[in-house]
Amino acid sequence: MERVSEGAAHTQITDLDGREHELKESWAGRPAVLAYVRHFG
Amino acid sequence: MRREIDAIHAHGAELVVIGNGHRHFARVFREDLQLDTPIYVDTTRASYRALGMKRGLARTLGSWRTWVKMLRALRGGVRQKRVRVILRWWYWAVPVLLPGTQGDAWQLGGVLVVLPDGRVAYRYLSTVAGDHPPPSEVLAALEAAAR
Repeated sequence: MERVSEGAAHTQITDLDGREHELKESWAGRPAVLAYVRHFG
Repeated sequence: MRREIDAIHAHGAELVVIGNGHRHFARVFREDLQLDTPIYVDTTRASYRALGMKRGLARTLGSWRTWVKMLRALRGGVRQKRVRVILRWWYWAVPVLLPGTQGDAWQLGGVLVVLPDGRVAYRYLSTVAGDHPPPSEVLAALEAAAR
């Protein structure tokens, strides 16, 4: 099974309060279904 | 995937939504869909690129077959089908007509199931606008990963 690359894991994403997180935090501790959307409209 | 949130939670997983528009629009998105799930924005699209998601005008518009199907549905067919076609066109047109507001119009998305150790149990990269994986595939990947 492939792994998320280190580069991808360390990319920055921002929560709705403006706080920065690393992408890898989204799957820390439990599996995550990452749904990447085209846009919010 | 929104309708599958309960099933995702039943597998001990979380649905995480990531978009590339401004976070104010992400808030509206959350309120409109009444989502109680983590939502993030990636305005630089760095994670989209790093995960191999596609971007481009031709990819977003789809093949000529897609347009022929849409035009046929508009000309004929039942009213519900026409409404769906129009809504689908609007879904595509809004970010094009209002660039930079709700997201990058040419960026496509996808779905990944990532386990706590970083292994990717499932990957689906959209090839055209409106291309989404069957939720059953995502849930099956969660099920298989749990075994």
